[in-house]
Amino acid sequence: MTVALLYSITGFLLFLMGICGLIFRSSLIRRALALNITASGIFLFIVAQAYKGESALPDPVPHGLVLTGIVIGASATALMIYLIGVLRYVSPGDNDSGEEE
Amino acid sequence: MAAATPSDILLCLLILSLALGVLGDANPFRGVIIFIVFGLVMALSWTRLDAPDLALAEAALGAGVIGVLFLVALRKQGEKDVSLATQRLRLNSVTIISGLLLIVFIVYLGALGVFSAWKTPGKGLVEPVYESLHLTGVSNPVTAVILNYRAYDTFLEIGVLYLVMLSVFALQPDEKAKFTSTEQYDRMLRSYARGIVPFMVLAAGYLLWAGAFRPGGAFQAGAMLGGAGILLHLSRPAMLLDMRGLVARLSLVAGFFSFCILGILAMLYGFDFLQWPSHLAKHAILTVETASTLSIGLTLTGLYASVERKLISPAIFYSGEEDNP
Amino acid sequence: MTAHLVITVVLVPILASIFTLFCGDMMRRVVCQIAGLTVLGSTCLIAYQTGHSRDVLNIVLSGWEAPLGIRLYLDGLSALLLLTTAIIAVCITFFAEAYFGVKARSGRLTFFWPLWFLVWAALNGLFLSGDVFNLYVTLEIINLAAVAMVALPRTHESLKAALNYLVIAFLGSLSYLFGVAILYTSHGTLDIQLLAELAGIDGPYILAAVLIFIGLMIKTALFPLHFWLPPAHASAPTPVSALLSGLVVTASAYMIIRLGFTVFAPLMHTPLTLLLGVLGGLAVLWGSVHALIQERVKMVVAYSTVAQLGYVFLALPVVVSGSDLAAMVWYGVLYFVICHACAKTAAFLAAGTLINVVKHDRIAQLSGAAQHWPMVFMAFGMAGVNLIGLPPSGGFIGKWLMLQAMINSGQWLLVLILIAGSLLAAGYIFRVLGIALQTSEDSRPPVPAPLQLTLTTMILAVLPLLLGVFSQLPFSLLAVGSPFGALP
Repeated sequence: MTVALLYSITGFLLFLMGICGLIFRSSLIRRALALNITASGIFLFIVAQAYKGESALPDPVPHGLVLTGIVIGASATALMIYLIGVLRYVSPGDNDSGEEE
Repeated sequence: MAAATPSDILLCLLILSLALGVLGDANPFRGVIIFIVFGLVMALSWTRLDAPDLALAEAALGAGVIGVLFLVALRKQGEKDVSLATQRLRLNSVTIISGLLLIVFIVYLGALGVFSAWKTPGKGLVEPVYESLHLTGVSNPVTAVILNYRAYDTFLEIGVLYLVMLSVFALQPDEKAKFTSTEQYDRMLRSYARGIVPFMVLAAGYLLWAGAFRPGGAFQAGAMLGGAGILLHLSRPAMLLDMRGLVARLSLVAGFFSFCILGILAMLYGFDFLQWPSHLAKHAILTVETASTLSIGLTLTGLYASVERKLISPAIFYSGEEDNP
Repeated sequence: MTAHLVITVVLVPILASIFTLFCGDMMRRVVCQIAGLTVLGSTCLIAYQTGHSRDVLNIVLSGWEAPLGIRLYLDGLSALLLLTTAIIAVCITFFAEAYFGVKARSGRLTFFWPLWFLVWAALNGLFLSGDVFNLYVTLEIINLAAVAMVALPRTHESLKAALNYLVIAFLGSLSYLFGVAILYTSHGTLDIQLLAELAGIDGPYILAAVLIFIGLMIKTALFPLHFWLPPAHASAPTPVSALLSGLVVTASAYMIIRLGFTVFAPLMHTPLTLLLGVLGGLAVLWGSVHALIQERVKMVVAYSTVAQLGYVFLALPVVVSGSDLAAMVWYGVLYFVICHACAKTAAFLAAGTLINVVKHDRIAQLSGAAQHWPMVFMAFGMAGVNLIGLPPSGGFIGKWLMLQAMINSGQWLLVLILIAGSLLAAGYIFRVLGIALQTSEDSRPPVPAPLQLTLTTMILAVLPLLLGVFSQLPFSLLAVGSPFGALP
């Protein structure tokens, strides 16, 4: 088994675990964690496929894509955590801003 | 292709068991702690796969800043567990989609025996990337990819960070944050922060500069700067982050705006949008990276402060609500 | 020259987004209007030049040709979508200005404007993008901004809807990203045109297709993945609902058509499309029936979106039956999507105008409302004509093309669903109009609807009818760079 294959499989499994986490967990923080695990799985898969062995240079394009992916994923997670925080302060039926909707 | 060594297998097993811990642990607090460890181990595996740039980004951003945000969210959430679904397994779209994806994979794995039949991935773009590397103004290929070859993606990606900060502003309460600290004033933490923060800023500067020829760059440096900001806030619980000033808002958009300006300049001089002529590429990249580092650092600190409810939104500025006690 | 214009339509909204962060109230309004009209003007020029030169345009960015760099791709379809988006977006800008009114001049609602322009820039970027990864980035901007805008009322319901939307959009993006990663691994490029040349059916290719389509199906809210859409679209402030139902779902529908007929064209000739067709059919029926039983106008319009998006998938099984029919489906679906974007925006804006004057949108209490606000209901009715698919609307032309293709290929079940969907649409539109048109005893002097609201709604309601009457021009524009040439 090659290194690339081993880490690709690990990436696949992480992806599956993240999806399972989404199914079986309903708490929002858990769902945010599960989404992050899913994303890590995908990133691991991409980077493993870019790995070309000990002596060869890895493909830098997937690394660039994953870096973008990490930043976007972190942004989405941060927005989610913030929204969860706001939700805690706004109880049902409470009209915080006087909108008519 | 290199064969996997026992240490690789061990690392993969460690990653999987940590992921299981994150998702399976009954205590959400412990789940988050394991998530941070998971991020660090992921960083290890990035290093193993010859992707040190990603290792730095994962450790600083994924495990570091996002981990802290999760911890703060949990502390604020306290005993009240916010969840949308009333039952554990409700037939909502998340469940359906997740289930669907799961089925797709199981069927796929079973039917095709993917891993035995998986063809060796092609060369990708290794050769073209290295062939033109001398024209990009940097010698770190990953920096060349994100800030030269695919600069347009990075430009929009900086836009995503800017967007998240805007979203936070748009949802801030209209009254000024009243942060009353119940936390003990921690002398140890404070003197520690006083010592370490200047070094973190220095390290951020180094990462930024080093990104041109070795692992590092704007995102890693920005995350480091954000970390410094967070530490500063941790050591002074009563400190509020005031985003009302012009300088704060300018720093927030600096990265995004510098891409716009340099892109327009390139077009005015007859080049493509975001094209850096090879003799100026180094300076152009350093300019957008510096501006982006500033923006990313401030955005991450701002996100932390907003989750802690320690942010003074610039909106207060417009409403003319000055503090006259 | 066109290259500069194309960059302009992405950059100007971005600059507007940055400037609105710094401006005071008066200045902000000036910036909004100048930016909006500049983009509208540029897209008109782009559409004119594309139609005139009849050439597709590849715009290289950063000086690097594909596969190393990213290129923008402008054909008739992109040009028409840019123009439609610009018209709708300018109308929403003026509508939002009057709708939020004084409230948005200070406080947190001022941040609606930078968010709004960022979404517009990302929409333009998405319609122009020629790179699968770049599509992911633009789509992500659109989704995250949409989430923030759904949460804008800051009520418990809207925050819940926003969080649900975020989780699902995140999952959809990840699924799409995984598909993109697999495409890159097996073909070594991210450029759509190069991928289309290299495409050949094998294991990784099918896996990538399934992942990308699941991701996009989530974002277009295809049955049974539609649960998130009605609460998100109905609980947002009206300009945002209009943006979501009019433009955001159009973006992902566009991606399905674009990728389906280029990168995944070989798969379109396999029975896999049958599955999409069945789901589309269920979406049409399910969405329409639910629209029929809603109690609020905005919920009716939101469920109608679920139903109308079903048509995008409903006609796909016909593609197998030959390239002439495939061409009819391609033109029909795209024309339908474009007209739907206008009509749906108009319907939401009409509902919003109503909320602005009556302070609610419960259908049962709207009895006699058409006496007081005839223009609003006329606009709603005209949008309804398009949603039902009656002549002379553009929706009719789109449906007619799909119907002909279905009849010619002998897919009678699809024909039946299409007709049933249209009848149900007539049901939910006339239910609202019927109650509003009743004569009521209410003699209180009505609050007049603000002119700016009525006018923008009316413009968008008339647009699908114009697209129906003058269909020559848009069709000739669509033919530029079409995978099937001109309409047979």
